Order: sequence, then structure tokens, then C-alpha cells
Amino acid sequence: MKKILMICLLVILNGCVNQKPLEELGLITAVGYDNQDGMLKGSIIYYEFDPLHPNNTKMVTSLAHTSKGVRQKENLASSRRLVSGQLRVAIYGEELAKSGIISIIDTLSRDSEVGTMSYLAVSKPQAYDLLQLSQESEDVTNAGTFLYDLITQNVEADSLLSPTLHEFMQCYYSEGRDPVLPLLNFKDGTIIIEGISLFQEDRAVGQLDSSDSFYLKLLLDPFEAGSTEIILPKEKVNEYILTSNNKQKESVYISLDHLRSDTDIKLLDKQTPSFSIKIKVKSRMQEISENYDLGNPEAIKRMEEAIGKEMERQLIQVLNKSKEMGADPVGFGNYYRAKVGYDTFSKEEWKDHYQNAEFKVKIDVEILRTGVMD
Amino acid sequence: MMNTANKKNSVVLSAYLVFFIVHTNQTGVGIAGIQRIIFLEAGQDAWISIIISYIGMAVVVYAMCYILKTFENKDLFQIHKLLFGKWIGNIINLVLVLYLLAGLMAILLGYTEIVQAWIFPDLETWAIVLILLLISIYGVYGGIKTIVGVSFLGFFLTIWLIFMLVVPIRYIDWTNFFPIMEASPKELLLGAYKTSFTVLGLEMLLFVYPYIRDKHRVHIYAQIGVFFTFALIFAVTFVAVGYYSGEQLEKTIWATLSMFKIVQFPNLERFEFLAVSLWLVIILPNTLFMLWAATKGLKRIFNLRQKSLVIITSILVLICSIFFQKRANINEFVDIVGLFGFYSIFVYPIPLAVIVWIRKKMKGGVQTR
Repeated sequence: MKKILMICLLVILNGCVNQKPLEELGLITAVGYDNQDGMLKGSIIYYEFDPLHPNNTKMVTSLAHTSKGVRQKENLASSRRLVSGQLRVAIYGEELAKSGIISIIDTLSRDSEVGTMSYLAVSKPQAYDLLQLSQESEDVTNAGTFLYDLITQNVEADSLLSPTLHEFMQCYYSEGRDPVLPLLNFKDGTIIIEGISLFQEDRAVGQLDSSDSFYLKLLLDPFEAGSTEIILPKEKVNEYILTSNNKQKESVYISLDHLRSDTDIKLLDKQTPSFSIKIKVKSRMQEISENYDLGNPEAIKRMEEAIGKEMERQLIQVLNKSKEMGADPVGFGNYYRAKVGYDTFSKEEWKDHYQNAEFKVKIDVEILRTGVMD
Repeated sequence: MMNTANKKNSVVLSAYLVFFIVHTNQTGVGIAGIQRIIFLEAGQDAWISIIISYIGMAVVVYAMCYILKTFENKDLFQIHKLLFGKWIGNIINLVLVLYLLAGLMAILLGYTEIVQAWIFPDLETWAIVLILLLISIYGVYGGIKTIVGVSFLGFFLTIWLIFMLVVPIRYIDWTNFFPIMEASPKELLLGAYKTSFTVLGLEMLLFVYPYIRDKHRVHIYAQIGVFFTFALIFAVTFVAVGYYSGEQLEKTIWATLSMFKIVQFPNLERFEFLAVSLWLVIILPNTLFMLWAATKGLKRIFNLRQKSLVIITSILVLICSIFFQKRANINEFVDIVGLFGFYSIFVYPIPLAVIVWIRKKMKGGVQTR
């Protein structure tokens, strides 16, 4: 009986499953989508496994109405069967992103082959151009893995909000929060992250440059090792400047790193609505453009206050900017909903309500160390 | 016949194994996607529903143990015959067997669906069901000791999966839980009712009872078993409610498995494939016990050899499962089985316990043996 069972199992297991030998597959590492005359233009970068040519990537492009339709047409243009299990990055042209991309992203999360940790990004030029240029570029050998490393590295260095497929879907489906994605561009022969792209639901409504996106990240992710550059007006800290060794008259430049933060957001008033945002930042000062009296506790305190004030100003500016665009990347809507309940909350009403939102920001900065010198 | 049965049973299992029997039978395909079912009823208060359903479970376990204790060395099939006489008892037994077989099929179809959706989209339903049935037949042929052994090992082989929830915890949006207690009591109860579909399986206690050594400790181990199940379901639901935002969770069929999608190891990029494969070990105790209990019941009704009944019922289940191809149909079927199970497992033992209690009072101290 045992033997018969074993033989049965062997036969069945071998017969039924579709085999996927690696040499016959094209592993898709990056996809790009654009809008062209009402049709969807898809570009795919895929990797052909070949021991003789270690970096053998190819690109195909086609036009169709759905993203899976694009895939089928692309399959016709490729000698390998295209599979998406290794998909690293999906890029959406800015033009397409402005008209809504949820239907294209939805197929990614519906497909069990695609990991939820794949990254999404918006590209300033057409996604096709971005991928095409990267194929020609010397710097980028495989656009998929290059972009993946680029984004991972920046997320880990705390300068970019993590743009995984899961996080996009989580924000999109939550009542009071909108997704953000990195904005890519092609410059000087390589792909760079230019800033972040803000969304209202699934439509891109605007962009923030990378220094503004720092403040957004400050609110959304507790920092672990971030860094930033602050510009302070000189008069605020003038009395502790020992000797001025800088030609700049008005400003002092300070660079902070090993930034750790702790955020607390509360809804103060439902009517307005007004939010209180308290952030505690602990940091190390790495660089200062003046000869500052760093040994003096009073001087450090003055500096901390000045930095806090400056950060508050910047943060409010960023929040108002995104409010004007109609994007809610921080998820104030969620804080609001958490107080009033699902039943009384409505997405449409919140959109209008959000425009009147007020933010009271308090940032406490603590400079723990100033390097190995005072 | 009763004496020979007693001799044959000859008390083989330690009482602590009841924990594994109850717990592994309760966790199965359901726990892979229970979250959205409760969420659809109770919203962000899903976790409260689970606590309510746990209280129900504890009461049911108490009722079951009361019935079993009164009759000492009998399983439910024999108790029915004793209580209601041969004919009515056998009809109730047949209904019970029908539920067990339907439950077996629901589990097989549920797992088949997971395999098809996640790993092998073009593997035929009958092929997967056949493989699973072959393993189950093989296990049931090994007897009760083998079956309990599988549930014992299965527990330790899969329990570590719960630690993988640490990764999604980092992505929790705490605002998703607020406001607390927004759901009305009716919605909470509906959520608890839906939870009970998943925790079916504790009925196995009614069938393995004659085989257990220290009968007075069965109750406590059974209670620990259901508590552990509760803790597990509570954990996966709590994390899922925070990890997904409302509408997203409503759309995710297997939220537990989807949460594993973000777990990545340097040498294993896609953890969910391992999880889906390991799920076989989680459902194996279910199919083994279901098949064993169903054929045991048929044996008690028709006095046939259990081994031939195992083959016959397996062929029947296989043939029936061929008719289920569409997800919508399978869903409908699983719902019906859940409803059926709810009444026969969660509701039924309580009046039964009352009947047993009245009978005991009427007999007034006369030994029920």
C-alpha cells in the first residue's frame, strides 16, 4: 500500500504542474507605464538568465488597454516567457499618474506572483524615456535592480518615505490618508530621485522637493538615523558666535545627523479642525558654518531653540503646501476619523473640511553631541 | 460489543494531548482569512467579537466535558444511541457524519483554492484533493495514535509562523483601531458568530474522549486548547486590522497569508510560498480527524469495517469536490458548512448537556454506566 501511494504521488506531482525552467524565462525587474492617446503604453525591462552574459537585460514596449494586455503583447516580442516574480520597481509616467493609476496598481497587488515589497515610483519624463535612457546609460546596467537599490538605500538612510506596493495600497484604501511616491528623473547619465510626488487618492496632484520631503518623513516615520541641513538667521544666535569665519552675513548653516524623532499628533478641535503636532528630535551636530561657543550650555540651548523654531516654520509651510494641493500624506483624516467614527466620517466632506485645517506645531530639539570637539 | 470496544480502546492517550487535538483541529484554512469576515461585521472592533466568541467556546467546552464525564467511556455516537434509542440515535449520528464529511470537503476545497491562487494556478482541483485524501487515508490507516501524533508534530512545525507577525506589526497604523466600540452590540455578536465558523473543530473532543487516560484532566486541557486558539486568532486579527486599512482588508481574501508577503529573508525572498506550503501541515490534523471521526460514526451506524469505509467516503468526497470549481461556489458551500457546524457544534451541546443533566436527576443517583 505504501509503495503504491508513493508511486501515485510521484506521478501526480510530476504531471500536473507547469514547469518553469530558469533558462526559458525572462525575469521582469522593472515596468513602466505611460499614457499614449488614451491607450496604455507599457515598457518592461527583463533579465535573461545566461551564464555567459551576466548582465543581459532587454527592453520591450507595447500598447494596449489593460496592463495584462500589455504583458501579452510584450510576450509576443520576447523570446523568453516573461514572469513577474522578480519585479522590483513599477514606474508611472507623471502624466499618467495625474489621471489616476489605481487600476494599474491593483493588478500588481492582485497578482500573487508580485511581492508586496516591490517599489512604486513616479517619473518626471515619460516612464518609457526613463527606462530607455537607463538602458543606454553606462551607469545603469539593470534598471530594475538599480532603482531598487537606489530607493532602498535612501529609505534606509531616512531621506525617503518607503514607497512599497503595500504602503501605497494601505494609504489609498484608508479613508483619511493619501499616498506619496518618489519622483524620479534622468540627469547626467543616471537616474536620480528628485523629490516626492503627492497624491490625492490615486491622482498625482503635486510635488515636494527633497528638503521639503524631509519634514514629511519627520512626521510619518519615526527617524532612526536621518540627517538634515538647517539655515538659521544669524541674529538669533549672534551673541554666542565667537569669531565669524564665514562670508555669509545673514545666515548660519548647521548640519545635523543621527537624527532620532518621536511624533505625537492629536486632534484638538473637531470643528476647525485643528491638530496639535509635537515632535521630539534628538540629534548630533555635525557641521556649523561659524565658530560657535559649543562648550557653553546656554549657547547650546539657544541654538536648540532656534533650530526648533526654524523646523516648525518649515514644517507648517510643507503642511500648508500639501493642504493646498488637496493631498493628505500625513493622514490627518485618519486622526479625525479616529475621533468621530467611521459612521459619521465621509471622504467627500473631509476633503472640504481639510482645507480649513490648522496645525499647531511644537518641535523640541536636543543636541546630544557635537562631534569629538566642542 | 461495548466491552470489546472498551478493551480495544484500552486508554492509550495522555490527557495533555487533548490540548493539541483541540487546538490543531480548530486552526485550519479559516485562520488564513478570518480577518475580513469578522471585519465585515464588526469593523475595527473585530477583536472584541473574538473575545465574545471565546466566551462562547469556553462554555461549549464545559458543556461537552459535562456530557462526556457523565458517560465516561463513550463517544458521542454511542451517547446518542443510549439517550435516544437505536433509530433516532442513528439518524442524529448520520447527520453528524454528514457534517463531518462536508467539513472535510470544505477544508480540502479551501486549501486547494489557496494553492491554486498562490502557487499553482493550473493544478487541477481533483489532483490536489486526491493528494490530500491519499495522505489522509494513509494517516487514518495508522490509527488514532498516528493521527494524534500528526497533530502534535503539526503544532510544533507551524507554531513559529506566529513570530513572523512581528514584521507586519511595524507597518501598523494605530488610527485604524479608533474609535473603539463603534460597532453596535448586534454587529459585535454577528462578528462573534462568524468567528465561530473558523473555530469549529473542538467537536473532536467528543470522539476521542474514550481514548484518553486521565479523564478528570481532559476539561482543563481542552480549555487551554481553546484559549490558545483564541489567542492566535486574536493576534492575527489584531495585527491585520492595523496593517490593512478598512477597504483594503475587505478586499483581501487571505489576510494572514498576504501579511507574510512582506516578510523577507536574504535567502528566501518570498516567504509566503513557504507559508502556503506549510499550511498543509496546519490542515492535515483537520482532514485526518474529520475522516477518522466520520468513518468511526459510519462504523457505529452500519457495523462495517472502518478501513473500507475510509476508502468509500474518500471516493465520495473526491467525486463531490469535482463539482466545485468556482470561488463563488466554494464560498457558498463553506458558508453552509459553517452554519451547519455552528448549530451542531456550538448550539447543540448545550441542550444536550441539559438533557443529560435531567436524565441524571431522574435516575437519581443510579449509575449511568
